[in-house]
Amino acid sequence: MPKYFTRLSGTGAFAASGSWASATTLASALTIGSNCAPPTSNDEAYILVGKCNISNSLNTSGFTGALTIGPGFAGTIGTAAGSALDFPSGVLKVQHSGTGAFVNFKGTVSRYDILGTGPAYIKTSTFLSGSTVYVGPGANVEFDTGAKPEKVYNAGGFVSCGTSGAVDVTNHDGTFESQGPITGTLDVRGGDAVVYNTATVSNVYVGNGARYNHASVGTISFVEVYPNGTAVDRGAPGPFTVTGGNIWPNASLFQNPQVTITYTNPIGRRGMP
Amino acid sequence: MADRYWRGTNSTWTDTANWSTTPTGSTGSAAPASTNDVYILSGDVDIDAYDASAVDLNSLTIGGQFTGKIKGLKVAVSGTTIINCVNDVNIAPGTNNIDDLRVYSTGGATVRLFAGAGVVTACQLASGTLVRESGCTITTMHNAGGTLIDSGGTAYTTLNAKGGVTITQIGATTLNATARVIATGASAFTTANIDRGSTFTHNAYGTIGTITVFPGGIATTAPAGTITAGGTTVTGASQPFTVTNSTEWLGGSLFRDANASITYSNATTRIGKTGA
Repeated sequence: MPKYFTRLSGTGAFAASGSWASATTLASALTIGSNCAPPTSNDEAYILVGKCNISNSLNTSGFTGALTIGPGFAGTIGTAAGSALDFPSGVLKVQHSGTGAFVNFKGTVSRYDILGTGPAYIKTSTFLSGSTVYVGPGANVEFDTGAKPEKVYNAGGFVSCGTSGAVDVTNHDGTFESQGPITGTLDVRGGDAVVYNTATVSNVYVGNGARYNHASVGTISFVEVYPNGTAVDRGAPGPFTVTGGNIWPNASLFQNPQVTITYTNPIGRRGMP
Repeated sequence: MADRYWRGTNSTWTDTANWSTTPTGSTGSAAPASTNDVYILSGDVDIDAYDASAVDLNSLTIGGQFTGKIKGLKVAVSGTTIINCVNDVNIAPGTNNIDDLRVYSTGGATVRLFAGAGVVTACQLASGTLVRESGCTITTMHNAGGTLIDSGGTAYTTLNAKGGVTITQIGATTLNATARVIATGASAFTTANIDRGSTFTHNAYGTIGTITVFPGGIATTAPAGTITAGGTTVTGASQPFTVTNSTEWLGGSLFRDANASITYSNATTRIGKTGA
């Protein structure tokens, strides 16, 4: 039976018995108030309503199920100072659709669905191979220095990675930015992507209408800019190296003459005579 | 701005027995009025159709633990409308627009924008099925991962098919596709950009003004037939149709079907290719 967080206002505690009710419906749970231990094992846990600021008892040790934060939740999780709801035991899925000022997470999560208008901050975390982060249109997620997501799909939100960067990123729309390296593939199919400082990028593909900004001195191992795609180096703090790549007609590849780029191999020209 | 929470003692939208100002507070509050933030988050009682066209809410949130159906609510929302439903929701804009509609339904639920002259300014579909009936205008549609199907109405000004499946019978002024798109009936497009990862099936007789198939994109036709999604069936029309301007890139495929009957007003520009 699912467990519902039933504190509706004020300051709340996640891993506290008085905060949860086990019931078949949210309405029943709210009537009951509290009747069960906090989520554990493979429980399905829901935070669906209210404006509670859940800032105490943030360690979910033993909880390995799924947490759903619904769009009716306008409160916060964690603290403004950075404390986060911790998943040390590894949970299957966290879906965030809330609208509050912030939610902070950390730990091990196989899948995040960040859909809500309220920003999500993901602190020091372990992302297992194959774990995914799906960011819906209009959503907002920021990864801390200690969080390096495996696979990120941005469907139109705003995604910001810290100095740990990310492995594979597909940016369908919206904005992706990273202070750290992209060690797999950055596929910019739409929207904007930018890497900063010394971030390296293994592979970057820039599609029609998409824009990639290499504001970094880190090496790009391979870059391919498709028709109407744009790769720029606005704000690059110094010279950088491009190991290989392809460019298509109507694409733009690093046209800024003020930045010195070393191409260690010729750039292939696709679709050109 | 006051809150209104649906409590669901019966099916009547206007009955004060169904509304409270907090999730667990006493019922007896007036039905939602303009500038209210409205939450429909729990309960299993269906909500009967109601025309609240003159009401312009500040926000409307339908949560996944509300398991009833919304059988036809007509209301404007100035802020954000979130539909995170597990059962069917029928909704339409009121006198004013629904400014920002976000749909992420689950469990086979269908969100239906029912017939009417209303306008949804911007709609984002993340998951689930969204059906647009004739008459309802969506200015900018962004399908990020759901099934979108329309059965008529005004062409989208901008249709961004970034994920999931998009099925249209009307078309768009501008189509930007990186995912599956099926156009049927009279679907017409002023501009269609078919990018990597997209298969665009023009099983329609509407004109395509300018189509560009980029590397990795596929534009194809298909036999006439029916396509069903979200409880709505649309009938595909066979060719011929007209393409005014077209560009096919190396690695792209522009209507290479053997049986396609297409009139090209101008010769196709082929980039990076030799011959036809």
